[in-house]
Amino acid sequence: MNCQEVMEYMQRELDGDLDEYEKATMTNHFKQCPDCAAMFERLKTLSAELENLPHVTPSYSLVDAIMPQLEQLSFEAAGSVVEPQEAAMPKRRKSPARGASSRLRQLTGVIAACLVAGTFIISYNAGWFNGSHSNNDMSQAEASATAADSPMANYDTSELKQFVATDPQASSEVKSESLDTGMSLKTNVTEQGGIVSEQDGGGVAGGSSSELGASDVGSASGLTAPDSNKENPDTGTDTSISQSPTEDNSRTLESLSGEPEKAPLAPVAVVSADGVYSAEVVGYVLKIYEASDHKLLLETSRKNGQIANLSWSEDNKILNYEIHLESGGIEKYAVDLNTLKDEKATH
Amino acid sequence: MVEPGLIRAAQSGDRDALITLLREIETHVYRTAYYIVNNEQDAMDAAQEALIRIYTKIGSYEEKAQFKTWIQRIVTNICIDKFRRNKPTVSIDEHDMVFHEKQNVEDEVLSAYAAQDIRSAIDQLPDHHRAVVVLRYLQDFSYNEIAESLDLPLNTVKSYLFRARQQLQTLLHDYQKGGVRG
Repeated sequence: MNCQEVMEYMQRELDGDLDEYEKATMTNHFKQCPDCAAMFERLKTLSAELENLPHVTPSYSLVDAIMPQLEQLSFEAAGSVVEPQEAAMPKRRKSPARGASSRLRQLTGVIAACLVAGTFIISYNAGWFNGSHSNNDMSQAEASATAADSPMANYDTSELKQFVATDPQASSEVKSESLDTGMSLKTNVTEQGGIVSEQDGGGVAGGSSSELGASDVGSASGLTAPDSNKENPDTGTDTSISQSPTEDNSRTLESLSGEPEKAPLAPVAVVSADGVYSAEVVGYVLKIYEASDHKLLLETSRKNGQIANLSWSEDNKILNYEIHLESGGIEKYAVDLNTLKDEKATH
Repeated sequence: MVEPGLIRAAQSGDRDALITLLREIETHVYRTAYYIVNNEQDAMDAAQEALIRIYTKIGSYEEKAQFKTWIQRIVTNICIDKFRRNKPTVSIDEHDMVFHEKQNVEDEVLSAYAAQDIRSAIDQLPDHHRAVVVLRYLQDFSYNEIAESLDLPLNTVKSYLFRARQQLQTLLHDYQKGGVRG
């Protein structure tokens, strides 16, 4: 037996991993090899020192220290049965809040109420309404990319956009109707509120939900849009509200709709029951992330309809979803997380 | 270490059970962090981050792994990924296993190494070698438990541990002789 082999024995002996025969072999070697014997003594000393390293304890309770963060996490998770997100981590701050559907539901109610209130105030100002007709029309046609002159027009536009985004099919009809009178505007708002809560109940309505988020941002001044909505021209609306000479009612509107600032509507996310994956609908694209670190695993091609009814299979490996085509048809798709393939469901 | 009933209660959504569980493991989590990052403040930060991750991920723990190896995996990953970036370590050459030099038996006055020397020697080990040593000596883990915690093959764990001890022995021997060479 050479010294190299004995070294392995010595190491294993330190971990109590040698049997009697191996131990005897090693001891015999030591009798002929003082270097190995000395090395073993040093290793034993080292190992004993390592075992005696101070068993340090934290100087204050770590759990107490993180309790506020844990409570925050619980609060954020309260609205859903899915696992809490790591929203308390600084690096997560920017990602839209998920799993807060109950709070979202409350907020949409508040927003709808604000819009109704705002619209009443506006409809009092009948003269203005007629005067700004063309203005509205133009900014709507250009998807409100240019900031319009009147603050009222801006408000109106963002609200309209909201409605249009919610139901693209009805858009043309709505446009003419809503520009008619204050009354019909109110109807739109109510309808829109109804649609919002319906979405909540259904669980999923990605495209329109994120559009909605952006529109809210537009009417509540001084807000940043959710990450996924960079293409939305809400900033134009935004700045003109806060910069243009304010009328009383636009002020009222600002303060009313300022409340939802803290929680812009998030894109719809459905986390798998085991908490491993998170599926998100962004516009007409479905994205699947690793829930732990938000790593993008899969991004589908752009779909030709609304993505809806996301659901995870029992083993959490297959995400089923539907595409609601404008023609009214429904296509069923499934993403297999084992193969990362997005395919039409067989049945 | 932690009662299985408590883990199950925590997993089923009992928040008090989860908090109790975190209190039971916080010292173990901190101790590993302390010896891997070798700095009290970083250890506090890393341990807190690990506890938050355990809090959020408790649902993904599966009983086929030991709970203690699961939590050590979380804390070692955080320490190595976030708190050990760019720290200098010695390189351990695979083929340089045994005697670096023939050491004279006569200078073997076996005195205890200073704890401070041991800590700074541990600090010089490559990340995974250090993690193996910490789990072996501060958590009393077996080869298998270390392998499970670090997601390494058993043989790799052994060779890391053996090489780490040899390296530590060499470093400490050099300290004792009054100078750090190289």
